[in-house]
Amino acid sequence: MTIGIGAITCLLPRKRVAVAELPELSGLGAAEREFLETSGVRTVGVFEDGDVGSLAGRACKKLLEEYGGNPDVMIMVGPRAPDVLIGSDVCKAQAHGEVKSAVAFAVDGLGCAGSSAAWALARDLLIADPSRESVLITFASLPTGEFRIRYPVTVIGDGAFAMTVVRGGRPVLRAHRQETDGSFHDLFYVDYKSGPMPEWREECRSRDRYSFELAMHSRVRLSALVDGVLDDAGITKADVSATLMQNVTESAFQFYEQTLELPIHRFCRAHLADAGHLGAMDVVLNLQRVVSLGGLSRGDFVLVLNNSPVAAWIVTLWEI
Amino acid sequence: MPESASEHLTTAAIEQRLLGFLLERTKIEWEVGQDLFDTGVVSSLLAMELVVFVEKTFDVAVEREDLALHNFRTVRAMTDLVLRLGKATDA
Repeated sequence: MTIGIGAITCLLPRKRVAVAELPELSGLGAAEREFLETSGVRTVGVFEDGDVGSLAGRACKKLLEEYGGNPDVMIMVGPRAPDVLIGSDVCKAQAHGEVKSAVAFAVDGLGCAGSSAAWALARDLLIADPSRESVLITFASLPTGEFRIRYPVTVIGDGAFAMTVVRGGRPVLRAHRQETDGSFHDLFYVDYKSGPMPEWREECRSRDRYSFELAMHSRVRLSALVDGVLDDAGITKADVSATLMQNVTESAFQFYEQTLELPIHRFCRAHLADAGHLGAMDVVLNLQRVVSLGGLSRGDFVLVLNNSPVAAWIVTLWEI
Repeated sequence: MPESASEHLTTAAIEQRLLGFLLERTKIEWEVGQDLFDTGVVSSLLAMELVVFVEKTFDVAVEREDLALHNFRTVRAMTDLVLRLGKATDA
């Protein structure tokens, strides 16, 4: 029995705000403005209301209304900033989503790569217990504080998704590999204890470490992971119909295209330009669109790269 | 053509190859001790091309702790790295 995707629901706000009109723009220096101009982000989606728990719950509810099912397990990918301390965002999502059948918990600490780690964990949970039929995964993207521009990384947009991993689902999760390197754990941080939320701002401890050392490690790690995943599936790069990754910047697309000698699918660039970076949701949105609108056929392979500056690197091969 | 590790790589030869690559890619004449990253000219993409150029041209593997910015900050630093890795390959 294979394991794959049951259904995916992505929520994107109707409202779009041009990056050039973001309120924080007036406080930016020349380097940050130049970064924005070349980032590849044109607009970002902005929800009128909602927090991570309620937005994730809304995505879950919509998915279950449209596709049905009673998930046995519910996994929330940890948000950039929790709605509450001590309380539980995932249980809030469970309540808002009316996911009564599932045991809920969170996968956290891997940044954007969390969604890929979650679908691999979902597969493992189904393999581990034959009585389980479905694992629900959810996540909501909101900025950490009020600032959406994460120089020199990306620009944050709002969004939320829910997806199920089920027995016999398609695309089939054909191969998966992942790695983390704890030495980058504090490269980015938000000092939330020293000031009120409007003052929260993401800091990069070392631009050099991000732009050079992490980039070079990513090149080596992702290259090896891609080779390993393709080898596990007994295929080569020539057999891959579409390659997807998270939507961070135009330069990141170019970097990985050159590193891996694989073209990144045009949907990724389109989503980056329109919605901005949605964190762990990027690869799910890209996968949903390429499966439904990408002109692929049963048996085609989709390679999904996912990484974060935490640092984590994850590669999954899906078979349509 | 890659420089074989067994060939005698001189400091001057390595520097010339690196300066030539940087001139071609940035259209700037660099000094061997000049900081490549301070100027903002060298992006992540160009840095990756630089690492790949070093590996392929001098037949060395730059891995793990050697993938540090201080080894690529100047042409002189890259030259020292190539000489060190070349010796390690020979050993």
